[in-house]
Amino acid sequence: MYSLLAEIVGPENVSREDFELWCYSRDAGSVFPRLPECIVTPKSKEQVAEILKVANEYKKPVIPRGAGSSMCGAPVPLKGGVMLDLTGLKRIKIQDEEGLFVRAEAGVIWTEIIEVLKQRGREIGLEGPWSAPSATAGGSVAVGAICMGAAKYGGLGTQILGLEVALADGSIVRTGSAANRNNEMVMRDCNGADLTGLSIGSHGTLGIITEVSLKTYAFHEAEAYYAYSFESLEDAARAVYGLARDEIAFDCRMFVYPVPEEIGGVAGVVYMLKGSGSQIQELGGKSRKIMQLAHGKSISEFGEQYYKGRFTARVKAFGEAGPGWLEVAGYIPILRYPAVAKEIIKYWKKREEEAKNLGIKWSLGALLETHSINIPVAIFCSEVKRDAWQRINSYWHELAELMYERGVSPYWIGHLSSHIVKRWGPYYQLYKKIKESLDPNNILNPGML
Amino acid sequence: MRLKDLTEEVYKCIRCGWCREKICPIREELGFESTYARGIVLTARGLLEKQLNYSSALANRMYLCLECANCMEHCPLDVDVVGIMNAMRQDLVKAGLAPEVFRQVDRHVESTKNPLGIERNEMVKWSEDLGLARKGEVLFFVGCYPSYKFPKTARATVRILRQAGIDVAYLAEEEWCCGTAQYMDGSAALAQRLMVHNLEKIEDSGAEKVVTTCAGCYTSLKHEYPKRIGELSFQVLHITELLEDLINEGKIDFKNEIKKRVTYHDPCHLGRHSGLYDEPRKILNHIPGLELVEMSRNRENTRCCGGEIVLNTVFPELGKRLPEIRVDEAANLGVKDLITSCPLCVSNLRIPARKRRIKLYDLPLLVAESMGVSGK
Ligand SMILES: Cc1cc2nc3c(=O)[nH]c(=O)nc-3n(C[C@H](O)[C@H](O)[C@H](O)COP(=O)(O)OP(=O)(O)OC[C@H]3O[C@@H](n4cnc5c(N)ncnc54)[C@H](O)[C@@H]3O)c2cc1C
Ligand code: SF4
Ligand code: SF4
Repeated sequence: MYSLLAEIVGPENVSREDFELWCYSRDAGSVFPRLPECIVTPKSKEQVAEILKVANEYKKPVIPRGAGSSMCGAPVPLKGGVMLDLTGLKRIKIQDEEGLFVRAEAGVIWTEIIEVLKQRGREIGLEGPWSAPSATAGGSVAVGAICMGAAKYGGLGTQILGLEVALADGSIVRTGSAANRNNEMVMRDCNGADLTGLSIGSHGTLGIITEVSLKTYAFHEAEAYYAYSFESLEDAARAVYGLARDEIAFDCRMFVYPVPEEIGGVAGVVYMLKGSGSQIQELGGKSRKIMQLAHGKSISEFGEQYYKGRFTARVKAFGEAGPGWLEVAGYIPILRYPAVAKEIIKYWKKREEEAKNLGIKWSLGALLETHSINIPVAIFCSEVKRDAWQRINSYWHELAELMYERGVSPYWIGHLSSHIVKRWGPYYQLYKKIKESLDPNNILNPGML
Repeated sequence: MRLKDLTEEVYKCIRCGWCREKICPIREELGFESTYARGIVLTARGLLEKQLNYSSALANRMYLCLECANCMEHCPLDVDVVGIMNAMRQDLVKAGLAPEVFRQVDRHVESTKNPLGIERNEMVKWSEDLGLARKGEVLFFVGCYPSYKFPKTARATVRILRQAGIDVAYLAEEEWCCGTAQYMDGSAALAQRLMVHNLEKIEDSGAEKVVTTCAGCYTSLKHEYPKRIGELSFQVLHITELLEDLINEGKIDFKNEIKKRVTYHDPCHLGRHSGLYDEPRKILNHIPGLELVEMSRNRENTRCCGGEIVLNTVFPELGKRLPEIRVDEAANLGVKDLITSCPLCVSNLRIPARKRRIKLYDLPLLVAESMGVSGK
């Protein structure tokens, strides 16, 4: 099989060197590493399709991988097999004059899409996840990443106009309007069932995304940033709810533990507005009223500081707290946030002493999506501390149980949380049936379901 | 430093991957994880955890890195990738696994004191009619490339400085290779010997200032010597720093207009390794008639032009591609002249520049032209 793969992509694009396998054994999270059997770096969708045909024939696992920046073990080759590094698919196509939509091959990174569009006075609504300088379009769609700008534009799926997907048997499908070969990927709700949606969040279990078509918007020059401090979680959640209800913020995040020193109080809320100068003024005024009604105290400099260094700040913070982390995250209705957050805090209070002794830190926050709120809980510790790692794993499982019991629905599930989906009876059965029919040999990221 | 001393540095990496796309020139060409910083650091971790062993295949991979430090410029956690790479190369050298070309370079340096393997008596040919002193307040540390390959740059430098009232001295055949290539390639003991020798000779010369045109020699003298040997009794200046001072003191007379639209390539050693971005630009802006336009990857984001010895021998295709990419960036601006301030970069860029009909200048040559002094 190895020589067949080499024939498809050229021997220089296949590797079985031990150090290379090692380099692909984990993602950015601290989940159990596993070695693949070989790495292949295709440069086109046709090569991806050919690789799948061979792997399907040999019934070999294929693990698609973008930047490998997931934190949930999503591209970890649980059952070995062929690691498909898709970063070589890196073309961006803007075909219509105005660039009302942009097609990005699976391996394109978010910052590049943003840069290319900016030159044409356009932007994608979402700015990609906070890993935008490395995360790929394909990988992000495949995990259903939550992106910067989710408060205004919602989940990544809302911005997708169509996908091109290579299936396990090597066939290539274009979804939505582009199912008609004579059309472009300009509209998702076409040609019957929404097959685009099948790939969003699928973690490469149903097919390999080779191209993503995204909506674009006029480029917005003006931005404004705000930060408020709150003395209760309920007030903070009410403030966030107000921003969602009145469709004000472009992006909005909450800090519960730790609350940055500069903000203080029980919870902090930061948000960012985007638009024309006059829009910003109007939205700014509205948002200030909402914050006042919820008894928020303005800490304006922090908002600017936080958002201006937007990508770097979080990564730095994560790195300094660990480096090494596990995260549980998922969505619930906004006003249910305080109750769930309090349970999480209670859980931690009981373990505070033990965690401190083991050098384990944690954080609890929130990210606003148009209609819901995302609760991320991260547990940090240096990966060198073995004893602490064992404990972190048990914390993670207990917390995950606690959160899922209270209704939290995970998004990037990875190998870390995929077992949870098995609990959702009929949903899981349907998922499995689709998987069995699309990938009867279970070659695509096996172990995930 | 040895790899185990860098354990904390290795574990600092959070595998965010920000050091990949449009950052690492090697990763841009070869599509595997092990070719750029994240993979390099993870490989180091594998070695520390004894999950991996050194091998010649691993050596070939690890010697691809140009140590251009662009990854470090973009790393949110300031992981010392170059330090980790140097440490692994030291181990590879110790294990006799460094690629043959490096061992050959080391042998050249041992016997001829320069990496090019050219006989020592050739070293001072460029200066025979210049009557340079061996002792003086300002010492010109010429470097191997200007001495053997680009004598015009060396001669122009002497003449510029003389016209500005500085009668530079030099070490002549007592100057040995500065040791940059050796410490970068893991030959720490050899690098140390070269450094100790040069330091002793520079101190004997009574120099208060040491000036160099080579960005590699500059980084080495300025940063590595004090780190590896101890505090220096003299100041180290790159020619661009000295020229800027001289311009400010009114000692440089740019007589000739040079009506050209040019672009400037920041050498990694001068820029990212040493932070000298403004000095060369200020000098260019002083030259009458000259218009400086920037390539999109400039200053901190400069793109490495490729490391000649390594790539051309071990990975010839890549060795050809990297300088071509940089020259293409310049050509796409529509300029006909490309300026840099390092003879190593000149050496790398000259073939593709010639093919693209772009005139390549080491900065002192352009300054000399405007001042009306000759490099001949
Ligand atoms: C510093 C940092 C900040 C982060 N911030 C965020 C954030 O704000 N929001 C967020 O959601 N996540 C965040 N993440 C997690 C992660 O970066 C994102 O989820 C990102 O979108 C994953 O993209 P990737 O290209 O790295 O995918 P990978 O990690 O390579 O893969 C993810 C999953 O998708 C599959 N896959 C990859 N490519 C394809 C394809 N073309 N077709 C089908 N399946 C594929 C893989 O098998 C895997 O299961 C962050 C991570 C880091 C390190
Ligand atoms: S940018 Fe730094 S922390 Fe991130 S993967 Fe690269 S070396 Fe590691
Ligand atoms: S130093 Fe340069 S070549 Fe080496 S890994 Fe970093 S960016 Fe790549």
